[in-house]
Amino acid sequence: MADSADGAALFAEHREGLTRYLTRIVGRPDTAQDLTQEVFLRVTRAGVPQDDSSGQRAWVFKIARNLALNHIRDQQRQPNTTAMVDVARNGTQELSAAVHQALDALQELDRDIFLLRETAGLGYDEIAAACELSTDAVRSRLQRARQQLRTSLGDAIHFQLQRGIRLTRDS
Amino acid sequence: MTNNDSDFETIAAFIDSERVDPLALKRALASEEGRNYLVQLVAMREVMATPPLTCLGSSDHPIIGEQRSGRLLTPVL
Repeated sequence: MADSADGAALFAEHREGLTRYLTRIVGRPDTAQDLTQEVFLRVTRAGVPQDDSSGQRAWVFKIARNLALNHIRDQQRQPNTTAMVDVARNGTQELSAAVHQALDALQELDRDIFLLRETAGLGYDEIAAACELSTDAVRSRLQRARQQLRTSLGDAIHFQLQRGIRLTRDS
Repeated sequence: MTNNDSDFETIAAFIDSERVDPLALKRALASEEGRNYLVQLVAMREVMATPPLTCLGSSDHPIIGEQRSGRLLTPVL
């Protein structure tokens, strides 16, 4: 194990990806910030494992994933106290809602794998390490998630194709 | 796994910056279906970059099961 300075440096390197991943999975930026802070504490307290950069990244995201899943489970146990608010949606909101709904329909593990890939930019080996799966299982679940999303987001994808596409830099 | 599944996995892996067999990629992209899949994956990635939703209410709303709660959502801009 290395010292907390290594943990802080490792955290700083992945902070942006952690926040993106946590925001998408818990749904609230403020909660995602809290969880990101908790990741920082755990990473600096636990000490970074002696591993290559890929292994360390998988370790950080494994911590984030466990925190997010625990948070979601805690929230599901609590009664829903949120009031309904009637707000008209614009195009972006409609698309956001469609994406959210499509992700919600995925199996939990498939969604997690997909988000680790798409929001955090983890490689297949890193996702496998973070989720304690084989790389083949990651590949297969990722493929299943994409096939499902390809169907459920068909209209949005079609619209995007009409606007034109751009191969974005890997997250 | 069908040939299509295997070809689609190869295309997806390439898009994900994973190392792929170039011959398998060429084969996968030789079919119109494969080429369609490639552009759809790229489009899907752009769609997924849409800002995530946040809830107007006071409590957290984990992505799991949220839509079933009937809460109205708005994106984080």
